[in-house]
Amino acid sequence: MRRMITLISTVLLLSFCYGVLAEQKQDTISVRGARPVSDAAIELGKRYNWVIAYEDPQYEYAGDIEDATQRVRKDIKPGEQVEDSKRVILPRVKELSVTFPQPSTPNDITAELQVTKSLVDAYERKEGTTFEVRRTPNRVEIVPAMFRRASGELQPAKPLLDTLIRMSPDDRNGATFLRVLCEELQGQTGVKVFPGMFPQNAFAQYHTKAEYENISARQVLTEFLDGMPHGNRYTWALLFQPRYGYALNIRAVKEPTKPVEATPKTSSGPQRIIRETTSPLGTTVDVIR
Amino acid sequence: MPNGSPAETTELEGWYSDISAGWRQTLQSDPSGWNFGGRYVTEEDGGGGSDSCWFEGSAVPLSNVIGEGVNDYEGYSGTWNVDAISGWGYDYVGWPQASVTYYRDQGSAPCSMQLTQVMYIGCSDSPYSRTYITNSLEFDIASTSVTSKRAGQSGTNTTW
Repeated sequence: MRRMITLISTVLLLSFCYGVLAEQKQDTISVRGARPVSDAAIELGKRYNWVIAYEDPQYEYAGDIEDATQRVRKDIKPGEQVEDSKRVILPRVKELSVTFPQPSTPNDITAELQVTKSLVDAYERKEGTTFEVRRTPNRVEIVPAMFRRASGELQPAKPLLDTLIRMSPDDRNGATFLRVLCEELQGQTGVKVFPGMFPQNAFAQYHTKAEYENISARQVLTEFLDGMPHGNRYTWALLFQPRYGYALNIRAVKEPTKPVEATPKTSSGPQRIIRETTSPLGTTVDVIR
Repeated sequence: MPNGSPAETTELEGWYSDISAGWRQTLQSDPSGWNFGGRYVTEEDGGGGSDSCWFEGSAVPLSNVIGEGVNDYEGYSGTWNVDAISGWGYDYVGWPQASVTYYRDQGSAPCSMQLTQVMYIGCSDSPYSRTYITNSLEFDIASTSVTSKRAGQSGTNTTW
């Protein structure tokens, strides 16, 4: 009798588990573009309000780039010879598709991390290029890990935002802060970096006197964005164009229906940060040693 | 709040290389004399935007919707306090100089960006946010100049 009960219980449990698995809805993201990982991250932000940051690797390999001069330039005729300095070299258009269990709630931060990882894993299986996925208090960051050199050989990438920079404590609006951050990055790396698109009115209204010494550009950018009103909803796309450089773009991601619980910030290391920020809500001064 | 929506005049105040062209607005009531000071105004996308500068693979993203990076976003920005003389601003229409240079370097200029902006004003009685005007915003990049347009007004900068 006891064995019979155990058997029935096991069958019922297995049936329940099967039912749960069978009923778990799947979602698919399919993108086609020059930066499919970035495009998919943006799509995840639209669908689930996830705040995902992205940094391009420095594309070199012939299989990763294309000469788009004829397609892009309006100042040449079809078939016209173009001097080399005017050539427009872009990341090659590729496709990426990933299917994943639909998150139970928009605030499912575990799913956010897992889906982002499955995204970069799918890209790695297809292209070889790899990304690291980092979880920070307000964002998931997709960071280049291995990229193909011109020879095709995979090599560890040096993420641009890991570069250490300094910023003087001048009073700047958000737009100027972003431009100076780009200049500091360019000065340290020799790679052209410029501010691309960002929410201009919000950046113009926000002021900061933050000072940084020997801090990674990633931390500077993170603290700058987090300091803005609704700053935890801002994220970046640092996009590379071969033979040109990086554009640092900022966008806002809508709030989820239910608020995400805030995670305490931490700071460590031999760094000095003095931050004074001014917004329509008032002035804040933080000194962190 | 008087009957009907406030009218609005717009005037180009200046060009800011880190941002774009800054426009200042003044709200006007009918009958005149109503002061809108202390209220706030917000913007939303009205649909139908376009960006002929962008191309697939561009390092600068497509900008054809208010709220997808270039301009503003409900709740996050695109919100201004109205001052004591019923003025508000700046509303920046266009792109930073670095993005203008980028598109010129790629040979995708001449080109332009167009957006439709729906403006709301906060009220003390229901409905607490009311549409009062819909504007056309435009930014044109030529080989040696840029032009910002807002609500039928236009300003050109030949130094960018």
